[in-house]
Amino acid sequence: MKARNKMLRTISFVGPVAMVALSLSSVGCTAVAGSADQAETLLKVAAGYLALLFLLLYGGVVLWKVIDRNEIGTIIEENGGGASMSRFQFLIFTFVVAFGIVFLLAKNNQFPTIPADVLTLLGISASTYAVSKGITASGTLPPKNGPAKPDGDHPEEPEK
Amino acid sequence: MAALPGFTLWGMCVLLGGFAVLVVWKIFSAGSLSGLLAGDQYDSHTGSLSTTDVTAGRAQSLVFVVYFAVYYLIQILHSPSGFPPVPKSMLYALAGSQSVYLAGKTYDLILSRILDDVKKGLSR
Repeated sequence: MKARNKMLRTISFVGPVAMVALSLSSVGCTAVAGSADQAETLLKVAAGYLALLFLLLYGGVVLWKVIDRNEIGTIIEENGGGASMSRFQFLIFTFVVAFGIVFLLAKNNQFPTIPADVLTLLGISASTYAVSKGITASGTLPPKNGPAKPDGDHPEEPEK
Repeated sequence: MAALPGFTLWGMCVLLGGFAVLVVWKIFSAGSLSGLLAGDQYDSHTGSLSTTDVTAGRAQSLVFVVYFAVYYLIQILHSPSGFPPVPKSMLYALAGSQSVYLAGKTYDLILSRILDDVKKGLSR
């Protein structure tokens, strides 16, 4: 709850700051530029840099928090501990497509068209994860006459 | 304006690369690689789940996913514009590989338990 409140406070602080920075940059661009076209170009550049800065800062904070709390394992691990193959493959394909979008965006200076094949690839990957989650949940339900098991892809071995 | 795409590329590379390095480090340092290959199996003697070292379904899935990801990443890097097309045969193979993995998991966790219950019911 505390973390949620802290995050909400951060968002409510960063949003207005970004808006003020954008307004100031628009005023600055209009003052510096001689014509309306130049002002528009400068404003686009300022907005681009501001968006990039915001995105990188946000990503950097998330990365730092993950390292600081040693929570990187939770990306590929299930609740009961142990790595999950379905999570891992979903993460790998998401990384590949994300890197592809950034690379092609920077290379061609425009957002790339995402073909249906790539969406199919992500669909297969996400479906595998979802179905695997369902199988794990069904398979680790306590049997009628047996011991109860903790939830997770690889629950700990039963005590001998 | 010309420098903005370059900054974007490098910034995103640092972020995505950072996450990728952390994930790879976690996999190789904390024994998560063996965890990726290990699976649970219903033990009819104890009536509970036990962990096996390596399952064939997971191993083939891991190999295929890594091969597919590296192949497509290289295709993207060599693509002049836009996403390169994904070969239909590779998509079908990936779907088949994941289906085998899911079928194995279903058998290990659910079907073997049901079959065991049926056998016990018949023997009574």
